[in-house]
Amino acid sequence: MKAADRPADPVGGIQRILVALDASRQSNAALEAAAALAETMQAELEGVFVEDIELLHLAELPFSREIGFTSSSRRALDSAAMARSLRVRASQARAMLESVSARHKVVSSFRVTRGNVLTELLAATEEVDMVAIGTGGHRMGYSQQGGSTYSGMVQSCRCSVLVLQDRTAPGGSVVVLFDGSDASMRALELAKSLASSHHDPLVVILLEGSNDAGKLEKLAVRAIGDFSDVQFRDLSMTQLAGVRKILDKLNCGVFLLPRPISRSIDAFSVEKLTEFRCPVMLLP
Amino acid sequence: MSDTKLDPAKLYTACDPAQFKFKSTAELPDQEEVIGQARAVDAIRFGIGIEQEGFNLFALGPSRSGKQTVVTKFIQGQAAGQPEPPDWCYVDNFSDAHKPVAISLPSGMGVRFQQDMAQLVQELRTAVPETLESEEYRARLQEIEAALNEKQEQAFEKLHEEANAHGIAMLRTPTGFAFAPTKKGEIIKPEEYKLLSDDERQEIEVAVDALQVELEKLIQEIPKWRRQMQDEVKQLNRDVIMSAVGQLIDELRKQYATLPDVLTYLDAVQQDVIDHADQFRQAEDGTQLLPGFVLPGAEGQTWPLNRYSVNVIVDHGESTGAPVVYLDNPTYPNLVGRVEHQAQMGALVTDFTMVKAGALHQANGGYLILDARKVLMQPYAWEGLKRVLQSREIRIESLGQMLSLISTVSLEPQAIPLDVKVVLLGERFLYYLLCEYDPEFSELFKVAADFDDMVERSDDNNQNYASFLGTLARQDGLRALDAGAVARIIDHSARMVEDTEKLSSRFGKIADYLREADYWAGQAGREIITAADIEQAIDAHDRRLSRIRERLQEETQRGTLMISTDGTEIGQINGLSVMQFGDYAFGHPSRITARVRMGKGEVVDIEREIELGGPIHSKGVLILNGFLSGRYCPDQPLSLSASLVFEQTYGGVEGDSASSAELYALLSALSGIPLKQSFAVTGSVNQLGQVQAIGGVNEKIEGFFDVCRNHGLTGDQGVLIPRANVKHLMLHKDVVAAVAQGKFHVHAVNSIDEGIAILTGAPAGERDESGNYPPGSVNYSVEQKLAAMAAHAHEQEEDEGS
Repeated sequence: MKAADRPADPVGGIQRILVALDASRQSNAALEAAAALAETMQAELEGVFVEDIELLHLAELPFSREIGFTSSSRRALDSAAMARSLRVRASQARAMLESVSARHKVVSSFRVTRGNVLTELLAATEEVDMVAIGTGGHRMGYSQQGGSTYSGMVQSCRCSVLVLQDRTAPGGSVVVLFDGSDASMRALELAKSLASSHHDPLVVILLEGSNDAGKLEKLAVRAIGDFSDVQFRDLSMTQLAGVRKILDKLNCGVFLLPRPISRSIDAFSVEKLTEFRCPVMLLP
Repeated sequence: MSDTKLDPAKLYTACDPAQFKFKSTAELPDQEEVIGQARAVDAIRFGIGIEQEGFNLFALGPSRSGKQTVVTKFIQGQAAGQPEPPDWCYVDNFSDAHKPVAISLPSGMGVRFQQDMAQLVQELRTAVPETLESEEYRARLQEIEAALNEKQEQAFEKLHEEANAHGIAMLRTPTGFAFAPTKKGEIIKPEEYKLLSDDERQEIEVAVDALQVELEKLIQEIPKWRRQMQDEVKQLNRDVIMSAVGQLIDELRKQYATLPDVLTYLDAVQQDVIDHADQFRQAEDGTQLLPGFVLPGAEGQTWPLNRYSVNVIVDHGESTGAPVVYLDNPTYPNLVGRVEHQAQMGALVTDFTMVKAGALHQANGGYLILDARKVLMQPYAWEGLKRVLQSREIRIESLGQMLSLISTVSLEPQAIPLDVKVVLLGERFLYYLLCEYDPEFSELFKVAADFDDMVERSDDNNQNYASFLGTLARQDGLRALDAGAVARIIDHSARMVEDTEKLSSRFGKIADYLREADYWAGQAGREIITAADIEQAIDAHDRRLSRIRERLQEETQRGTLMISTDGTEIGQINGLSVMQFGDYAFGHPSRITARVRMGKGEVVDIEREIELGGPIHSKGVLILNGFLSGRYCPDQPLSLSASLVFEQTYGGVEGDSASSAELYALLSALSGIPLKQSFAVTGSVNQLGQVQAIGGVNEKIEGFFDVCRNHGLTGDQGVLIPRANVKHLMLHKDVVAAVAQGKFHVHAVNSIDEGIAILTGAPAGERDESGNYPPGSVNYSVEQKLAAMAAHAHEQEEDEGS
């Protein structure tokens, strides 16, 4: 789809979604999920591939060796080969992006930058409304790059962040956590837009805190208006540890989580988010 | 002379309709017994009754003699009192898919087992996915996966920390991992690294090398951990699926507790379901080979689950008694079964559900009736039949596979034990040929049921014939016959076997006449078949086939074929021959001439010289030599050279029925006494001058009668036949009528002397007390002529010697 074909009124005001690509299985899975969401939200996809400057530095060290991930064989590294390898990966990522965006009929663009991965990606988020990031690197727990990139993005990014797991269970409902705050009102608005655009059911989890469930529901009902396919579920602060199971039972397709709430609750820490089976959308 | 001439009554032995006490055969009960085949019936009873190996049955006899009807009837009677054999099914062999397993179940249970298995699959399709979707299963599966992830994470984390402790970072490269020294949290730059002291660089490189070794070990461990996890998942599946499957299969086990084969199979099913539980989740819409190419489920069942279906190849659920199978088209696959293939995506595939039973499977535990000629004509059918009878088991092998003609992947279904009585139906020559040339035949078909071509013509059999015709008419929906029609058929039946004392057992042919007569009765608007209808059917049948006979008669009448029916000629006589074209035979006279001269005792058969005469004809001619020498020249050499020929014959001549005619011509030529051309002669002769019986006597007489009638019956014309053939006379009514009116004559002779007297009008002559023939007799003239030749020859020899 060309830029001229862009939709005039993207859902929830999200027009551009950034997805970090490195042609790995994890990033491809994130790309698929991001493209599906972009299609739903009628947003554009922006793919970015960062040539990790640290890898290029590494390749210039005289003793540097690479241990194959599956073969465990040891190979000597040099800067030319590393640069070539990164170029190949970038072209694979581009091809993947074009293929996926064509299938989902979304507008996409692609660019390659060189530098520190986190720095480059954070810089790229300045121009988008949402960034999609996979948790794969983090969950492996052995890579300074993958794990720190995910953590850094979730913690530092000022736009919305879509946290995507390696394997997400297919689901249908849009679930939003609502505590009556301004951030949760915006999240509810976006959740309603998502649900109505694809005729998915909407589930509002009413997080009891300063407001009781009845009051929260009234607020939510007022915000939702005439959207009919909605259900409400009460949740106390003490029940938050079991939120993942609740989401599984609700057949959650995407979970909208206001960032102000997530920051104060351990169940939504950067670490715990990797254990969710559905995509989690962190909203500012 | 008068004693040789036959009365009209001798020419046709009619069946008297008055002996039948019915008005129509509709009044008669069904003919249950086989008419006049006691020997064959006893053999069939014995063959069916005996249960020893190799006592299969060969019913031999002429075609259309009712062998199949008799055999089938007897076997059905026997089979009805015998128990139904078991059903047979083929099921998947889960451990070796190309060798399907055969399972035997009590009669009628095959289909039930098939339905039970289909029901089980339906229930498993619900139960297994439910189990795999259950909260408990998912939780346990996640635990196993989480444990692996945790193990990996911990291992990498430990390595990561170890690296950090040395100021080294572990980086992920596009295709692997690498270690690099860090400075203030960032990878040290190459130029900074160069500024380090040798010791510092040495220390870093040693640390990196150690870490790399650690990492290598760790990566090598990962596949092992994954395998362990897969084993745990399998065990989990086993435990969880077992709880769902075991209960369902246990119910089947109770139902089939007395059938060990079924229980073994159910154990295998249980294990296979556990091992392939995922297929119950994937099997909703067929199998997707490539995007957009989905194999549909076969017959409503989903393809991967077909492996649990039951292929019932033999079902005796609806049967009573042992099976009796007649296989009309005994090809090899139709006999021993076959494995079919299905084209899928351009390839031929098969499985145990495409195993098809053969007639041997269907007849197993009972009787299989086959036409021997058809079996022998089908490639490899005879060999296949012998092999299964010898091995006593049915093993399905495709011909293509056996002969290495095709290399398509096929099956080797488990062999099924065979217990069958095979009955072959065939003509006699097939039986004798097989006995002669196939040593295995006698071992496998030890009982011969020999059906006779003819049965006694007795009053009882006449009555049985009437009942048989009535039964046939009822079975075929034909009109009933009146007594006259029955009598006429019995007469024609005797004519068919050329014997007034016998009746034909070719009931198929009789049935055809009956059907034709029914047609003519219908044409005539009659409610019942009469003798006239039978007569018309016989005449119409003959007329349809009489083109060649009529052409010969026509050419004879026109003089193209030279046959004299009046006057006298020396050394010339009318012989009689029969021509057979398919199912139709007719007689026609041929002119036979003889010429004699002095020679060395040779009687030359010109037919033999030009290789148109058969060996029996030649034998007949050579006998003449013996007769002449023995009678006329016992003490001196036969100084004769004679030539004999069938004039105007251009095809082969076979048989010795003309040998008496040839002898009459020879005697005429020797004696110079002319023969009456108003006679025709048939009969073979021996060296003593006795005239012997021949075949086709009726056709021969009728053939000459037709020629005479065309030339004009003078009252002098007639035929000489051997007296031994009088009992075979069933002549056409026209001949009988002409004889009754004195316009035609049939003479039955015992000897050449009787015949020559009729043909010449001169006495044959008998030797007197001094051993001489009376002057004026034929024998006297012949002897004189031969003596003169001998004397002349002797003189010549003496002249040549001096």
